[in-house]
Amino acid sequence: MSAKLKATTRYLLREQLSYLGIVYLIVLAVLIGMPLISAIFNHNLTWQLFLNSLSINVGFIFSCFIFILPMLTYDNFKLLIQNGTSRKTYWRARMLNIISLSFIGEVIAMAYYFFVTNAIAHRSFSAGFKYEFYGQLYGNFFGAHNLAGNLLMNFIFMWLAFIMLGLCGMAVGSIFSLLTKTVRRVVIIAVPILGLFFLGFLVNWIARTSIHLNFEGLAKFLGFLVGFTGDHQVGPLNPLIATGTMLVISVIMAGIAYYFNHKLKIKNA
Amino acid sequence: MQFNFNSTEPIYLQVAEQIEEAIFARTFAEGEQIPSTTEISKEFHINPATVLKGMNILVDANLIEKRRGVGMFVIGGAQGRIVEKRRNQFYDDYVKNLVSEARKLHITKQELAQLIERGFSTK
Amino acid sequence: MSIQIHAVSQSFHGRSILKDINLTIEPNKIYGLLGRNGAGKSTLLNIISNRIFPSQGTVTLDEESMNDNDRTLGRIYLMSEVNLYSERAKLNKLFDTTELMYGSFNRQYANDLADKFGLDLTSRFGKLSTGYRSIFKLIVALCVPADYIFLDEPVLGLDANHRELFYQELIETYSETPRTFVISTHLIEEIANLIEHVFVLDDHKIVINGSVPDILERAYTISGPDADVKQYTAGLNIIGEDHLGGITAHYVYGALADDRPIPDTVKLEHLDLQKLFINLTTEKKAAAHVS
Repeated sequence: MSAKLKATTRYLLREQLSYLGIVYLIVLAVLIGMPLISAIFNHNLTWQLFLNSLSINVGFIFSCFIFILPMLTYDNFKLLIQNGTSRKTYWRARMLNIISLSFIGEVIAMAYYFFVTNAIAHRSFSAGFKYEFYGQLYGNFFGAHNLAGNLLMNFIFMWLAFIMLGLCGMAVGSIFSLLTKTVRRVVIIAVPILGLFFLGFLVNWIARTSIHLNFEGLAKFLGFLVGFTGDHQVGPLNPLIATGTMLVISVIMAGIAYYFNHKLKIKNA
Repeated sequence: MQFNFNSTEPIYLQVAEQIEEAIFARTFAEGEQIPSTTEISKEFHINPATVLKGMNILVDANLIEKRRGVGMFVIGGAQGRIVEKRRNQFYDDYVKNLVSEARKLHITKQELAQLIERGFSTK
Repeated sequence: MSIQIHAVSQSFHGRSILKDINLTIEPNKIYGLLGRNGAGKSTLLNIISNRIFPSQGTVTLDEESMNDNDRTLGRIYLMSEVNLYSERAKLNKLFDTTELMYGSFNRQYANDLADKFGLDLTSRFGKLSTGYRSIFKLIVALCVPADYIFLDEPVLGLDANHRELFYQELIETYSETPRTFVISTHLIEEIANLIEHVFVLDDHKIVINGSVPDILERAYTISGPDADVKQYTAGLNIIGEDHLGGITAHYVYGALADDRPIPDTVKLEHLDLQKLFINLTTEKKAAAHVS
């Protein structure tokens, strides 16, 4: 790891951790503070209400954060190229950043879930696990009583999921930063509209054609990607397959981000 | 120190001339330190290399010397050498022009001699 | 040991901005990059510093590519007219960032300079006036440990006192730690004696590339009665002319005719850099329209 990469990574990590802190503070203020304040005004503040308002999904908040933050590509590019840092190093530093931020984000999310949300609900550790996003889908893959194994897989799975989200954000951000402001706005508006039109057209076309398309294969394939094996012995879904899928998507997104990151240039230069 | 630069001569020559003039006028006395390259450079926005080139002309002419770690100093006898040099150039620099201008104005040899007499008698 | 700009061309939407630029920038020299508005100066500097990509050509530093290379990019600094610092950032923080990214930074000198220029380092970059933005960027440029420093319009928005201070500080730091400065400016007179070597960009091409004394040695004003001047300058490289009454001045760049005697009525002088620049870069067609 070159000195430049270390410096860049450290700079980005410091900046983004502070953003993460700010986001958590705002979320705390809005999701917890607001109900509390209104409860105080209405004189119906109870201990239970306070505890209820603490039950927020930190993992979901982080997943929004890790997707949106890497989209902000251009500002840091400007600063870094002004300071003699190559695009390659910027990309590498952002990769390291997403990986480490995702780790931190998952540690916080898991800790918050088990020590706050789950504790408030008076559930045991293993019971709480089954209520979690991962637990609901892939809960018993490593055996119903192997909590440590399941938890470890849970952690790795969510870590990778966040990395994948971050890389998707980075890929989109890298593409967007090549566009001018106007084009970017057009794309933001046009893509959903065109998507809807396309969907409508597709549905219409399928309805009109007499050929009965067989979507079973596609559905099976998509199911397989998220780990649906049809084997009811070990629980419905296999997290290892889904992990593989996420890895493949991550690599593709990292590649897209690399390609477009490489073309970054100063605008109005 | 006051430098007056013109645009028609290379700057390094002008730097040398102006310092020489200052030594001639005893603004910089013999044995005294003259302003450093950087000082002159900063004052007149002249590239340090250009100033150094001008100074080196004076070093080669044995008018100033570099004392390591201290700066440039006027060498003993420098003023005298400048006077000597200027006396040698006097004919080329002044007499030739004087005569040529006199010819254009139809001033005769006798008249010119008289004018020179007059120049010497008025102070 | 040098920056080599090799066959660089740039066009944008079919419009040519730079045509086949070849330059060498050597260590420890002060260069001037002159050109009229739109001649392509900033584009060239942006290409050298890898902020944008040339349509053609390469830039190397000590034979290593400048493209996407930390080693070479870390040895140059471009102070540009475009502001790449975040508006929200505090100046002190920007010093920190520069120090972190370049590995070192002359903090002591930066603080001294801020004092001298009256720049409050606790303010945010976005709150500064144009002049103080220039000053801040200049301070960074003078304190950053780069071997090649490019200054695009360094005195933009600076008053006469601050300009004077800047030139003095530039010479001071250059004398202490020689490194290369490339200064692109419209205030030619202010840097005419400061630069050792000059590049003139005109009509997207390099029209002058040489040491300043050498260039000025080849630039002449030949003035006198119209007929005599015309006779003497016939066949020479006349880059411009002026008329006042019966007196004509021809500006010549290049060798004079050695075999031709200079008539008594004709005066031969050298041009200064500013005058040379104006004559070289005036659009000849536009001038013809006026007269």
